Amino acid sequence: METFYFILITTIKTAIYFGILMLHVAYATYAERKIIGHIQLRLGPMVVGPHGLLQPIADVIKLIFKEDIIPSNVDRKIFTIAPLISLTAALSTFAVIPVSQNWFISDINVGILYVLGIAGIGTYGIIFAGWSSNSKYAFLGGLRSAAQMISYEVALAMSLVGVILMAESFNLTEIVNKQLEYSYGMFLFPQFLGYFVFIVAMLAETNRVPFDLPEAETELVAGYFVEYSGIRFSLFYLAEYLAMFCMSALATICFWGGWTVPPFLLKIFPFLGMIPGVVWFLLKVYFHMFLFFWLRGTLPRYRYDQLMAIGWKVLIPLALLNIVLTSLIKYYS
Amino acid sequence: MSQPAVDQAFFIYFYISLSILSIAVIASRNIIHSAFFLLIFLLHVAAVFLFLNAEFLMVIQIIVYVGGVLALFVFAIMVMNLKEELRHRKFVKFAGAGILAGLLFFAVFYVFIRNIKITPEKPLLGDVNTLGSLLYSYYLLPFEILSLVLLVALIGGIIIAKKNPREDK
Repeated sequence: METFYFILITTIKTAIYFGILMLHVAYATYAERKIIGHIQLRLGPMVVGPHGLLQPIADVIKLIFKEDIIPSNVDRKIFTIAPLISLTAALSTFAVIPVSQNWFISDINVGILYVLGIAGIGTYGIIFAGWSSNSKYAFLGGLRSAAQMISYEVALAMSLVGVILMAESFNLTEIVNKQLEYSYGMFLFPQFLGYFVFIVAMLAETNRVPFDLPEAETELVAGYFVEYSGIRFSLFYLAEYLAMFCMSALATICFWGGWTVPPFLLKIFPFLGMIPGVVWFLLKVYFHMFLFFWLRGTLPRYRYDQLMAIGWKVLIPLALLNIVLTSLIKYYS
Repeated sequence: MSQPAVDQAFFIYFYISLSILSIAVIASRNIIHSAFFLLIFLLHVAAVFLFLNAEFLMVIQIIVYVGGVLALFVFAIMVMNLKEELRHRKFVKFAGAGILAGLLFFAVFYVFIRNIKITPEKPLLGDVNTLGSLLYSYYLLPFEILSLVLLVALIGGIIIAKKNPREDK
């Protein structure tokens, strides 16, 4: 009976988490359009609802009711299953992400590795989509994505080693609690090198500007999902935004102290402790989401060889240097 | 639903699905389909690890095999663009030898696990700290040898990938 209750409660928790996440994704697309609009001195969506607030809902309804076209020369099985792989991988990462103390679906001991591993599966959705579409643009997009993700996954994982060394744990909740033991309360300060590498690798992993080569619209139309339409197209879109949220949450937990307030700030402004942890967590996550949009509005795209050079010749050596420095300081103090 | 019943159900599921998937990997005519089945197969193996309370092994299985090895397989397949289906007749010739090798493998495997005893206490596989300190104390020599082998493989790969310097001139 106990097993049954456990399964029931986990299912309910997952359903609630899922619903909230979907709303966040819908309004993240709205926020992106608004922010990019204002950066380019436009207004962004304004027609549906006050200030275009109902635009994401209208978009979702439109995408669901559109015809799902499967081109005649595609590999049907792989073509239909590819978006589901991307979406499942992106959603599964949130199973271990703690939103506040004791607010999580599952609290496993190897949380940080789990997130990295599962996020890597999302690549297969992109590769399979590119291959099965039987189109040059999609194929090139998939190929670029495969090479990019393999290279940057290394840098992403290595940038987190410094955090793991300082926290002495793979558990995400423990990483956050460990940061409270220091007066500065965030690993951002001692791990600034790791944070820099993480942010750059995060942009590349989620295929965002300035590393959005798999979907570079000026060269590849839309890259790997060029042949998709309707609901399957929106699944890819969803997976991309979920991956952005996942990376933002990971950055928040590992470098920004998650749902906690730094102790030195709490000493000066004690009232900050009254605000619930979820609010802090969301604020920090949305700061990173804003970073994604901000960079998209201001930076041009890198060339492909530049992308590879940055990954292998700059980020990975920097991450290694960070690991060596952290271990040395930890050993001698 | 009691815990043993759930265990039993899951093991039957994994037993059947892993067998079907492993046949599907070698039997599918399209090489990308094989890669797809291999992806699901590896994820199932990871799930079996999780089921045996070896969280760390599950995650490492996903990161190394799904994130690394299979990604390189797929990448190589895409670069070579092997879109035509493989011709089966070419391989039928070797069917007898294949069956023989398989039988031999199973015979050896059976000899090895025949006398195995399942100890009641659970090994501390999931504990990363134990694993780390064991690797750096008791198993230090094998660990160092393995890292040396990896280094040799890395350097060898770079040398093979590099062009012959004489060709440039």
